[in-house]
Amino acid sequence: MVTDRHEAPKPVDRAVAYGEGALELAGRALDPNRPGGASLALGQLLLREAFLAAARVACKDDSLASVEAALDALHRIEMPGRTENGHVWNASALIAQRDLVDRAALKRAELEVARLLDVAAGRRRVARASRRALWVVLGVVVLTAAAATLAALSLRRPWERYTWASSSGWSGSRQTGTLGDHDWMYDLVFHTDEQQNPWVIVDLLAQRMVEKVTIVNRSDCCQERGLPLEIDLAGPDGKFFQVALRTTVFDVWEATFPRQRARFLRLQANSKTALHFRDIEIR
Amino acid sequence: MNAPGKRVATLLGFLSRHWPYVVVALVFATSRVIYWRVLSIGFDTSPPDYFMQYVSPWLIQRDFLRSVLYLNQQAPLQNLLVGGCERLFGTHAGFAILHVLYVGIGLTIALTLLHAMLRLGVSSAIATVAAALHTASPVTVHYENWLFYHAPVAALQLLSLVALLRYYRRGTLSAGIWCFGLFALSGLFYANFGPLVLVALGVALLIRPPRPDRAGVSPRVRLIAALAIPLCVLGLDRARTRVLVGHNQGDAYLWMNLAVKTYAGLRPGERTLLENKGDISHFRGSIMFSGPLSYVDPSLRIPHPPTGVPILDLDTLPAGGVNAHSLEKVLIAESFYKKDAKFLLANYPTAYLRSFVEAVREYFASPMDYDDSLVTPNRENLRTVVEETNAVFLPDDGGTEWLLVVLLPVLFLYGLYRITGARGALESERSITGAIAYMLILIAYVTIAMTGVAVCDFMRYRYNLDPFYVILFALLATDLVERGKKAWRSSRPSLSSALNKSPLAASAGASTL
Repeated sequence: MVTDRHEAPKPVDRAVAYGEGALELAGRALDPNRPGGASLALGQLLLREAFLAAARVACKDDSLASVEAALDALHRIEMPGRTENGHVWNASALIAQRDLVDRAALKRAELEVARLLDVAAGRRRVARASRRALWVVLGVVVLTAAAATLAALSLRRPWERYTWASSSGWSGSRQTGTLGDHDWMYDLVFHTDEQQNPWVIVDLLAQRMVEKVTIVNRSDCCQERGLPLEIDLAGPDGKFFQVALRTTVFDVWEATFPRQRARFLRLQANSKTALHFRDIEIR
Repeated sequence: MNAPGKRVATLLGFLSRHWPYVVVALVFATSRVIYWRVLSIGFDTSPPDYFMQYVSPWLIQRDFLRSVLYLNQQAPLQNLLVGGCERLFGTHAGFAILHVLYVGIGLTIALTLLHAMLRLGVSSAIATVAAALHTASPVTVHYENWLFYHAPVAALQLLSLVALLRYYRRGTLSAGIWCFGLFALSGLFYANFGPLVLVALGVALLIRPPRPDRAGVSPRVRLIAALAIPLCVLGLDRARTRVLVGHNQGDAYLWMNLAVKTYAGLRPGERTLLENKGDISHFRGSIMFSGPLSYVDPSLRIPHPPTGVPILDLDTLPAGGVNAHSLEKVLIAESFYKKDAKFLLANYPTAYLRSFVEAVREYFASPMDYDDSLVTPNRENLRTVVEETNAVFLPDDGGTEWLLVVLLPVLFLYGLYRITGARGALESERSITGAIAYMLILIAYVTIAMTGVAVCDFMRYRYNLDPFYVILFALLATDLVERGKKAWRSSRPSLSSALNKSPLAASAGASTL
């Protein structure tokens, strides 16, 4: 009995192997890069052989002799993977035609016969390849989009457009500008004179929600200046209220506070000192 | 049939079989005559005088072979070709011969581009139009008339692609050696195509190697054997620099480019602060190799004992001009630029990212739009034609050519779809899959390497990829035309449509092709 079970599938395997061999040879004949170019007639003949072999397996009927007979038999039986029967029809129709056969039509037929042989042999190579291609293309698109989004988010600094005005400008320094402008020597956004309670007011250009202000101090010297430093916010009416205060020296101060709607932000030192910072980020 | 009649029949037979080649050759000849006569395009031989890719003419005249042997950061063949012609035939005749050679290279590019498309199954009409447009384009003419490595490299890579298709057809060891050998030859013209790229190509082709009807050695073993010889040639070229000069080919440029690229993304004040604090050296973002060492900050100088080889020891040349290949520049790059690049990349990644994004933006531009400071008569003469063709093909919206921004990635994705999809699994697509994989690897490599490392002229580097984009475009166009034809045919009464009317066929939908 065991031997019988081993021997039983042999004709099916032989038919599948025959069909695959015919399909491979058909593929070679249809390759436009073949010596002398694609041989459409030979490709069509070999595709018919592969199709018949696959149909024999599907129908378990060795007597099939023509494409039309295979077509009828396939139409009558329940095929595994019923939804793929449409491809059977398309393939057989294309293979059966003796006129109107071109390279693209035969390539479609080749693909459909490959699908049919897959089904007959209980494999999913062609279906998997179709899905794989979609995943690969989708994966590349998503990865590229993600990388582009990350790059855009990393480089996005909307506060660099905000304008500022200061109480004074040290030795010819500007008293107005944007937060994106830095001087070429010390990389400072602004530098006030040494004066009593110097200040800088930043115009956010519109009412915005603010919850975090990051101030990067001058790095070459004089970090003790500008203290105690308070951060005030104001609405369109210009009435400032304090949201944060710093009394100790810092390299980078990340001041966080409850979300507030504001149009203006003011940095003010409550002593006789100068204000000079490298970056002000407002989020 | 009498003799003249036979001749006419033979000629007509030849024309009917090879009309695309005849048409493209005629377009090539006609367009060149127009460009030369009407637009006064001449052969631009100025690059060897001052481009850092070349050995100085003074050294070519006095110490040519040794200079090429000790060339340390550039591939040798372009210098060997140009210098060899100058030495053998004299400067004037040498340049005339090179002009003829470059015209031949232009014709080779046109015909191999067409041949590759036809071999890949592109329809004759589409292939002919695409190859003719590429050939007659002012960009192609400009690069063909520019004594630089781009034209030879483009030709060699297309020849390598055609040789790859031949390798798929024949499957012999010699066909494989031709394919990989031609690619390796392009690597000897342009150092960026090094052994690793060749290995990547070989590994990709191993997945579906050429498998003709022949017994004997396994196709994969044969492919590895075919890869080995060209790989050894490229490896020996790299070893030459390591052994003779003591430094790896291209390393100095790599670190210098990375340092300069990241430095360019910093704010001027940030740069000054970093230099003043001693975090980075005073290299001031300069591409040191193109200028004399007197331009380099004194704190970076690294005196070394003379090697006795002029190309390594001389900074400036007695006849004037700069030697871009002196050993001190390599030492400076490896001592200072390397350290600076590592520091900047580790601490200022957003500065690098800023430069990278700018590079990607510039990549999607016409290859004619490289370095504006390089003003040559050919560029000036072609400016009007370029502007007019760009107005038609590359509508410009504030500097970004959106057609390229959309089309080039779409073509790349189409290529990926072709090699990974169901069609890629078919035997009839084996050679096409291999050829598309070859093109995609080169496109991905050049795009990533150039935008990620180089500091300028990104669209110029893309010139060598444009033939591959043309091929992918022609394949896509052929597919679309075939789909259109299929839709038109299925609307006509035929056996196919009769069968397709069955409910089963209707439920399965259209073919995926």
